[in-house]
Amino acid sequence: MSISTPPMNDRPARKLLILGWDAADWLMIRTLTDKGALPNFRRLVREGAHADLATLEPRLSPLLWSSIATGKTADKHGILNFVEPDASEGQLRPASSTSRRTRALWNILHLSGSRTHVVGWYASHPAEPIRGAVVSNLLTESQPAKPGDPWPLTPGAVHPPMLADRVAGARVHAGAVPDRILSRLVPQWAKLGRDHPRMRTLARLVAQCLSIHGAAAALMQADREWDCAMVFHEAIDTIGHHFMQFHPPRMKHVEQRDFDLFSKVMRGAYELHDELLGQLLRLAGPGVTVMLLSDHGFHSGEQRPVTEGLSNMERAAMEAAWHREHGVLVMCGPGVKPGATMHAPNLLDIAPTALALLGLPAGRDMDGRVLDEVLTATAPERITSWDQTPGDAGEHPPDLRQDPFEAHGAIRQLIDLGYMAALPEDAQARVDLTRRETAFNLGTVHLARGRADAAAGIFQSLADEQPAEPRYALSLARALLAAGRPASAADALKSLLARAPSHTEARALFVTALAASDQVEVGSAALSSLLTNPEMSPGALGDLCATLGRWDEAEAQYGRALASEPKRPSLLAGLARVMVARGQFEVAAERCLDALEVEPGNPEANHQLGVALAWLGEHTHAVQAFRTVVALQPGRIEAHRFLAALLRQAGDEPGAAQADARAEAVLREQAASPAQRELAERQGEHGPTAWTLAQAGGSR
Amino acid sequence: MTARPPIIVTGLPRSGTSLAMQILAAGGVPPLTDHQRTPDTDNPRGYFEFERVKQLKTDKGWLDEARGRAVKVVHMLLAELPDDRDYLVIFMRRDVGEVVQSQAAMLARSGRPGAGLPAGRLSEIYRQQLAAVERWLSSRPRFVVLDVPYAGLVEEPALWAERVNTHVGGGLDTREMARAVDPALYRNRGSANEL
Repeated sequence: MSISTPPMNDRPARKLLILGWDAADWLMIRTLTDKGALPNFRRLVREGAHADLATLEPRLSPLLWSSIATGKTADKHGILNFVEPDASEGQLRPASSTSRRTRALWNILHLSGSRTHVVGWYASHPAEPIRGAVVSNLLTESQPAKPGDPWPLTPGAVHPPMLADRVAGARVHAGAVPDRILSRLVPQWAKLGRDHPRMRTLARLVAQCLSIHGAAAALMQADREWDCAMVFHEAIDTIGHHFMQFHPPRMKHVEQRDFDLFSKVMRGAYELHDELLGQLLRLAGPGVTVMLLSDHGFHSGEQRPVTEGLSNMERAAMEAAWHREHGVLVMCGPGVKPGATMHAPNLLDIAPTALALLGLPAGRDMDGRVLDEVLTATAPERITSWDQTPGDAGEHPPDLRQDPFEAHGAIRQLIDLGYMAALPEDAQARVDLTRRETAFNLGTVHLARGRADAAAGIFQSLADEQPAEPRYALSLARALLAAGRPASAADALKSLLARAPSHTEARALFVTALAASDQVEVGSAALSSLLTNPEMSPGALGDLCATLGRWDEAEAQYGRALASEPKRPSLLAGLARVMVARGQFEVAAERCLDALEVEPGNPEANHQLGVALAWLGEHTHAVQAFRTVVALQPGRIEAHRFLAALLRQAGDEPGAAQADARAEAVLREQAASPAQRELAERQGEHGPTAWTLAQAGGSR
Repeated sequence: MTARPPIIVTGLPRSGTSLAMQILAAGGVPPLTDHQRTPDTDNPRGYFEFERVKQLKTDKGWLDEARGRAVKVVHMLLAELPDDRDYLVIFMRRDVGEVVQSQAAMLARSGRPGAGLPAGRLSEIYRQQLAAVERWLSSRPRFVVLDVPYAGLVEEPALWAERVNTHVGGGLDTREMARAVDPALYRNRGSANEL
């Protein structure tokens, strides 16, 4: 069976531009657009539709952008880390296109006869031989010391090779970033000079951004007959990791002088991206459909982590703490309903929706959905799998597509047999660390998708191998808790606490494990020592008190936390949970609405709102809230059951059966053990079963 | 007379590369070897290896010594050979499943862990490696390749001695080459010895 892209005039989008701005954040963008900045972005928002875009766990860019390009979770697409072993070199290399185990959008479009330009996308090196062009994410590798010195392209960075010179010429050396751009980012940069360490870093990151844009522009000018273009900029994220600490308001650790110098960098970075967006839109021409998105947000306010003074290892572990769970999504142009509301979109929905815009079906093996509510045309019916669709998909030859760890293992075999030289010890140690962290990320993906037993197996192996690494033991405990094995979780935490008695996070999780094991009294005793621990935030204490059913104390802790952060959604949702437990549904609904005003995609606030509205008799709105919850957190079985109960009560038996069937499908997909199933089906005092009984009894 | 180009004996470890070196030596081609790796249970007649080959990425200085001689280069290092001269390649072929089994036996005797992969996965990776090497060789006109099946060599040593002789430009003692193949290998061709 072959499937062809419909001609331009017979599909919703004539040309589709997918623009990735890594870590672009609505809070930053709104601050700027409120002041009249970002005119090109504002036009897209005004003329199109926009939404919070939920991220995936773990929040690591190569995994996320590969999920965006494939519509699949990282366990399926196989890109699980920033780096991987290079079997032939015995060293590490950036995650590569040969490690991806499923077809990306550009492969699918090649298979369907379309032309695609791909620029800078994570894990796109070496460039795949698709119809159109690929400029890989290694475009600016091996930059020479000075502008004008020889700067050969990394082999395999450009396909087709005939475009290599043109693309190479579009690169910008860090030393050649125009003064006007540096002035926009750091108005007083001339005082520091280009050799100041922070200026060198900034120039390098800006040069990378300009190079990606230059390459995209070069491709669009060289070949105007494209159907889809996918351009990825990482600079908002990379600049943010270095310079968001200087963004207003001044963080305590930032010296006034540095604040004065660098406080405009982030604003300037967004403005630069907007300027480049405008240029790209002009090159794309009128009638282009745009999907502009980020993989996650980026903290710019009170929740910014402090990484100053940390070791490189500590800093690396903290980098993901900068990432907020919602990114941006703006869609605009033919095929998109202006002003439409999107229902809790997430990164996995991008590929199916992009295919629908080009008149192509999604695969049933894709984990996301088509965002039908924002499209003007009905999406084609799904096919089984694009991976099983025969034909040339513009992929690398099969012998190049290897699991990098298995390939490395085979080299180890040749070394052990005495046919190749042994790797230096430090090289082998780096590969071993990469293997463990890759496995850790895979476990995190499984846990986030509800496959708790699979996750626990991986974390157990890691904890056995590296008992001194607390992240492995903590994740093991979380997985065991999610698998409905709280006693085992408590045991894992006991082992960790025996090594590190003061590990606050372990102690807090231990309380949760005890509560889940019905050892509430022991849990309360363990909690008491945490109540005075300065490392414990009031919000986290509120969560623990609520877990133990100590509602008054939970309310007090949330109250303390809200005094300093009155609009923080997680705190408001926690307080709503307390109110629901007490049967104070109107107050609970108000707190949820407060939370959702700040963060419409907060799953806990939507869930508690659904519960409160159901008990208040606002059934239609409760259904809406639970529909949002199951879109955000498909693994939240209680929300599916509540949805089914509400629909059944409204006489919509098919809808109710569908909701129950989805819950069963989720449990099947999770391969849930009886213990996990029991945990998933556990309901609170105001859960769907109690609600149904109350309805039958005629009481509220 | 101009010495013949280097004769590169390659293939997966345990595919018969040592045997190929033996017959070349018997035929009159001096092996480039340093005798550092001594005979053992796995290869009682010796490995015919040259340690500097393992450093081929960084050390190519020995290649001039290889003119007119035979040298073993494991398949994964073939692409490190510079394209600045001609090579006569003898590529040993053996069922990959048998190779993996033989390697496992060798690793067990040495007490080393190896890849830590199931045999089926390791076989698949070796097939991918071989495909990649073949693709690389197909675009290198200065590498002239003769595929020699291990099973064919032990079953019909005289025939393959002639073919190898022709491949390297003639002048070898093919009778001695054929006699260098131990008939026991045919009887025990599933075993690990003399590869």
